[in-house]
Amino acid sequence: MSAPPLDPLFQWIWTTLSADAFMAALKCQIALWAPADVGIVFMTLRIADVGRAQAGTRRIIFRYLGLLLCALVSLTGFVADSPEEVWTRVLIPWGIELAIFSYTLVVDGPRTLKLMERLVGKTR
Amino acid sequence: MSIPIATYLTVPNWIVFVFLDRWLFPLVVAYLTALYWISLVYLRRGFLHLKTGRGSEPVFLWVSGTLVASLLVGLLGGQTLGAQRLGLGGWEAQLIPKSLVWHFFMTCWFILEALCVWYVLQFHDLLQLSWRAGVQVAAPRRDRARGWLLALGLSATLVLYGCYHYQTLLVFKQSHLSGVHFLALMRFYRLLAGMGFIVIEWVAVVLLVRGYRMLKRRAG
Repeated sequence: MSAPPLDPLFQWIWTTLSADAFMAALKCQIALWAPADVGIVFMTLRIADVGRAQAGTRRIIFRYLGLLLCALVSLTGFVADSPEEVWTRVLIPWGIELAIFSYTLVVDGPRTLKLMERLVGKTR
Repeated sequence: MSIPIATYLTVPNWIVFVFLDRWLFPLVVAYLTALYWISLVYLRRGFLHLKTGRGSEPVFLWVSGTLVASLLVGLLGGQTLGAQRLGLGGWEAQLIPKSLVWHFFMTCWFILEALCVWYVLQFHDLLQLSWRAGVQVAAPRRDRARGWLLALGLSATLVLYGCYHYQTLLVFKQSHLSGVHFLALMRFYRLLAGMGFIVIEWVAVVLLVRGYRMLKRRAG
């Protein structure tokens, strides 16, 4: 790639960030990002389950299995051939995980807050 | 530009269509921004409820909600105007304004997520405080320092976005960059943003695991 005489950073990007290098970096990022994203939602669900006798069938199907499905779809990003395909495979799970996270905060938040209030209330 | 819905389901990299589509692009951006904002509002409300006993804060809700809505309407609606003002045509008019808007919202999501993680840290500290009852673990100076660090970090993120894209546009106008060169610069910014997301998300995971353990033990 012939680079115009420009900024050193931009020059460095044009000479270093070849298509292969970019794909490799992107896949490394997915390997680091996907477990963290799934971990956040999973731990939020676990926190919302504290003190509950049973998680409930609907809850397990829609949230835990939904999350597992998202994780699996994210992982298919590794076999993608182009950056656009990687993002395609990551964007949907990301959107669904974010929805599960927000939904859990809105629906289970008040109950978890009550539990925490019992524990933390004294420190106010 | 409008593409039948079946195309999205059959083409492996339909993100390109989402990116180029007139309606799907703003819809996806608005959806992700709204979810981040809702999460932040609920985390903040929960934290304030625990800390002060008062959860509702209409001023924050209205100010942040108006800001988010204005950014969405202004930037997504102003893309065409931006392309005209920059004197862009052809692929440039399609790609450049959308890349700038997408990156701006990526930066906003990073900021919103960092703020969410900030409240997760506050929850964690409150739990730790109750965990070590009687032991002085509250540190106002440390909290203030953390607050300043967060404000500085988030401001630096916005400055980085502004400088990087301003420089890109400057270079583009002066040197008539090819699409390949422009794409490389845009991809580099996405890698940078991705690294930021990875760091704060792992911090959040560690805090949530620790918080869960404390909560589980205390709740029995």
